[in-house]
Amino acid sequence: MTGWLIFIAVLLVLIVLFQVTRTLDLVSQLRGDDDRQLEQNTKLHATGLFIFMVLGIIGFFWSFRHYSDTNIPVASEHGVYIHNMFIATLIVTGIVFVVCNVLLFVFVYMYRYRKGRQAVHFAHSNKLEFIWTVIPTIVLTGLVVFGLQAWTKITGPSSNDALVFEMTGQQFFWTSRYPGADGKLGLRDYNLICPENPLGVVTKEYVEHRLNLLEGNAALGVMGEIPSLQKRKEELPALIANLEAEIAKRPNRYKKEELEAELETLEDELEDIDDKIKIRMLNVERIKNKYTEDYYMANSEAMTWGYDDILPSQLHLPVNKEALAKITALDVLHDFDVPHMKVKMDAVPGMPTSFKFTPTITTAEMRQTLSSNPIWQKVKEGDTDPMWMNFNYEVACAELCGVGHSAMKYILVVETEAEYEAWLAAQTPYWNAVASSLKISGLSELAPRPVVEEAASDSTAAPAAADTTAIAINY
Amino acid sequence: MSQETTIRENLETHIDEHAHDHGHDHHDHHQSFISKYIFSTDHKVIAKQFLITGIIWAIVGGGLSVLFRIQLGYPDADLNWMRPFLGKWITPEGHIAPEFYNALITMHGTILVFFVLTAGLSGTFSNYLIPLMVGARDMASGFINMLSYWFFFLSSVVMAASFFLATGPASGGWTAYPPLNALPQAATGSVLGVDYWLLSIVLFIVSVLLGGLNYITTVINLRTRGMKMFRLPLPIWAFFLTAVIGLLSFPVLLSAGVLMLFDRNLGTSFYLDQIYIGGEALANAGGSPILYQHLFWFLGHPEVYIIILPAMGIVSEVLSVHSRKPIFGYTAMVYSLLAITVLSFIVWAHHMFVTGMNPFIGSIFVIFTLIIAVPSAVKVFNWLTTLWRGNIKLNPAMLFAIGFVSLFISGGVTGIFLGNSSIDVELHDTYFVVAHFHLVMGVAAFFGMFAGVYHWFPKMFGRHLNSTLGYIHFWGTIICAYLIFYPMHFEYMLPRRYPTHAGFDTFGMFAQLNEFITIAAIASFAFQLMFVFNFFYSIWYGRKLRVQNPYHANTLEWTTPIRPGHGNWDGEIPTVYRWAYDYSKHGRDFIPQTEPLSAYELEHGEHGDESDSDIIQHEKHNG
Ligand code: HEM
Ligand SMILES: [Cu+2]
Ligand SMILES: [Cu+2]
Repeated sequence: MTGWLIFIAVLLVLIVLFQVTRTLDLVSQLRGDDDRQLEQNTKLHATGLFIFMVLGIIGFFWSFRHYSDTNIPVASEHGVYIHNMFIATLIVTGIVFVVCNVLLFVFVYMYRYRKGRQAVHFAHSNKLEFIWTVIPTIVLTGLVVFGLQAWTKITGPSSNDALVFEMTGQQFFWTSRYPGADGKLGLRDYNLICPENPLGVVTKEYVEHRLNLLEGNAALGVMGEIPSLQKRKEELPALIANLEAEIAKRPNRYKKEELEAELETLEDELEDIDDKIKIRMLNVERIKNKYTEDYYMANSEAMTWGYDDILPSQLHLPVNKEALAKITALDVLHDFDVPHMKVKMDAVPGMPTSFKFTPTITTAEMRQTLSSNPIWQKVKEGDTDPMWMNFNYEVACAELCGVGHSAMKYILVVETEAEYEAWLAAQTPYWNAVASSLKISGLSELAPRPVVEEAASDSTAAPAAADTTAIAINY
Repeated sequence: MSQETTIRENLETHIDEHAHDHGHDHHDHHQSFISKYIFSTDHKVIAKQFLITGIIWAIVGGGLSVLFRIQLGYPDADLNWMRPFLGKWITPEGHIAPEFYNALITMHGTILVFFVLTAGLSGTFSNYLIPLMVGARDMASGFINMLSYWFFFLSSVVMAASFFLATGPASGGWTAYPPLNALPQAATGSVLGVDYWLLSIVLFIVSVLLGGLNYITTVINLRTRGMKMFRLPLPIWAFFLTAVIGLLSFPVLLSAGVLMLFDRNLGTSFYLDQIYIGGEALANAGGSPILYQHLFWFLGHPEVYIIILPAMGIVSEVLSVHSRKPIFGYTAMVYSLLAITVLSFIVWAHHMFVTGMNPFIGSIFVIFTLIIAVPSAVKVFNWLTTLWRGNIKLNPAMLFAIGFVSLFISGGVTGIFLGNSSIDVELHDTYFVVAHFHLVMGVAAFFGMFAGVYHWFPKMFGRHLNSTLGYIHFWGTIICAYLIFYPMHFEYMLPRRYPTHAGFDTFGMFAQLNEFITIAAIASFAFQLMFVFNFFYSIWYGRKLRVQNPYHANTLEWTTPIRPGHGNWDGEIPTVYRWAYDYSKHGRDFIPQTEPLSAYELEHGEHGDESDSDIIQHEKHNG
């Protein structure tokens, strides 16, 4: 009711306003002196533009002060280069921005229409045009040179002792991986991905396990995805026929719609089921073609790299040590974005990318710094501590990847070398947690035996039959 | 409406130059309503069709942005009141469902970039002004011109239909990157929405190509006697080069789109490789998602110039006419348009600095990208000098033209940040980019379009727009535009395309600013609705235009009757003797292009730099 009243009131106001504007136009027309009218209007709006400019420029400078607290401290080495480039460009373009806008509005004010005045016929001047082609060229050349210097440093090769880790994006979370004691990340193959092997790490057991999951293995009591789908395919026609008969029997519309919806789902399932089977059979084919005895012979060492890989729930990096992020994606594009570090690189399925950076401020130091920042002194709703106390570097996804794009948060902890070593030592290889639940005939001699107590405690924590969308990795 | 009649009608207008003596009345001769207003081959009617369709799309596209801004500005608000028209896209908690948020931003971008600022802007003004300003009775082919509009219309219908799909319209961004857009299982909008989106874009490209062919042919072949290329008014140069860019770049988008349709429907792998999604390891192998980005941006970057060049042309004309001064550096303006045309094809990968592309290639693109800023800067300086010592009449058209220059400066300078790849690492896919391209392209192109509409409305409809509403429209729009997009630069670490940033402490500090921006966006939308009202009201009830040349302008369109018929000029087409910018020359306010040079007079660009001497004369006069 009040909604309607407001609506009507607004409408009335609009009508009145419109009538006023119409009258204004009519009056000017009746006066007949279009020129005088235009002169007055011009003066009004030229003054308006001038005031707009003055306020705008005040606002421009004011805003830098006002938003100064929102600037996040730069926490990486190359971030400083970027920041310096940013500031240099800001100064150059800031001058251009202010000068050009001032000239624009001042000219409009100074040379506004006055009856009887004449404009100057000034059509070109080679000298002027030469000057203002050359000056921007020189300035831009400077920016390009400095920019490319920074760019070369940022994208150059990483040092040999850089700490390598891997970030993998998928709808809608990140998985990180550290190489473990051997310093080598295990090989990966997307064909091997399954709940026990979320990144598709290549080991002999994982190959066997994956094949068993797909094809089934009666001896191990695994039905197998392909046989289950084939069975389902045989059942479906009967189910559909039953349902159709049921629907036909129903005399009235009672519950008919629900049944019809159910029927539609079944029909869709039947339609898609051949594709599903085919995809899995091709999957089997690719695995079998690739992992032959020859392959095992040629890669016997590389096949062991994966056993000690760590899949922690947070990223940890030592301060002031170069880190090399290897970035991959499983399904669609993602982007590994660490705002404080000024790190950003797309994660592309099928094409590994990388980004090297050196964190320079530990999480603890950053908390200290932020403790004097009014924004971080606030207390979040439902919290008791000011925000800075719980500050963490956050990893985000910066490439639209679907419905959960804004939920792809990951925590990065930067700490001292000693803290980092301690953290690393407390991590156990992912393999240890899952080895006992693999559907295989026996662990190969390559695999390190899982430590007994840990394996026991881990197997309860490990997601026994979790689906891929909810991998809980708790250590 | 058969093809035959169209052709007959065409011939008739070309042969019988006196068929349209009646000037301002509607019923004219034997044309039915349908052939006159629906399947018309008259470039002026087609221009209005493009304009009005563009306006309708602008309302839709703008409305969508209001919806998603509300979600972004008020992430906790109860939006259940939207349920009557958004239905299941409102979650039970009363928020816009994230998948629908993505669909909204996707459709907003697509609609505004392609339907409003390409079709609505080029389609309207190239069609309307090219024949009138070069002195032609119509486009080279009226029939192809009509087809161009109807392909656009079809494309619009397909895009509109996608809103009513159960799985919703495309939701993978206006750039439609695969694999998100190539795999139905990756997003609801990718189930069917993307097929509609691609089909619509394919139809749209056909429309652009048909239109562009016509614009180019007309400018090259149908100029009236004496209309040398370097006597063309600047808008015509701009429309001409826009059409050239479109003709060379849109086919690449067409191929990109067709390959995507193949990947989606025929099981090919142009853009797909080693994908694990929905618990399945897909068989696709060997393709590259990056390939699509190269193809897309090979159009995508030129596309932004397809949008801005017409606006630049319009603004150049409007600034010159209403400051009663020749456009400064006409030749430099033409050459900078040419330079932009060429360079726009070799900067595309600046959108891809952080895709993992070889950094060396990135460096090359940094250089080209910053080179393209030079002709853009030259244009700005020339506009400023055009105003210098003019006699500036501030009607709404002129205000919008001035606003354009301001916005182009403000948005252009941020391109310098983004073009430098190292800074782009920080800024890519953040609100800083959103601020950049909305100012420099989005709002600026709108201002160019408004300048054109306010300037040529009397020519188009024989009536004036209400100028008081026009003034209010200008002030409302420029203030809101700056309030919306200027503060966005401070959100330089905030990722784009997030329905809420609440999950991140780092991003949470912008909640208040986001709310403020949303309020400004809603206000700005209200001002646009006011313009739409003014537009339609004035078509029928506006003050009548009573003089042939209300602005004392030099160009040919003002030599036609107040309400020109099909064929434009009643008698012979006028002959042109000079360029379009002899304003305030030799003590005369304006000298139309149709006036022969007097005995002692040098044409612009001929030897003897009279422009400078004119200043000296002026100096003497004024003491
Ligand atoms: C001064 C010259 C300019 C330079 C150096 C420049 C540079 C750039 C760069 C490097 C980007 C990519 C940013 C990123 O995604 O990380 C960009 C984005 C963009 N620019 Fe410009 N630009 C300039 C002028 C323009 C103009 C004149 C227009 C339009 C008329 C324009 C429209 C756009 C658009 C639409 C995008 C974003 C597309 C998207 O990601 O959705 N730019 N610009
Ligand atoms: Cu994402
Ligand atoms: Cu670009």
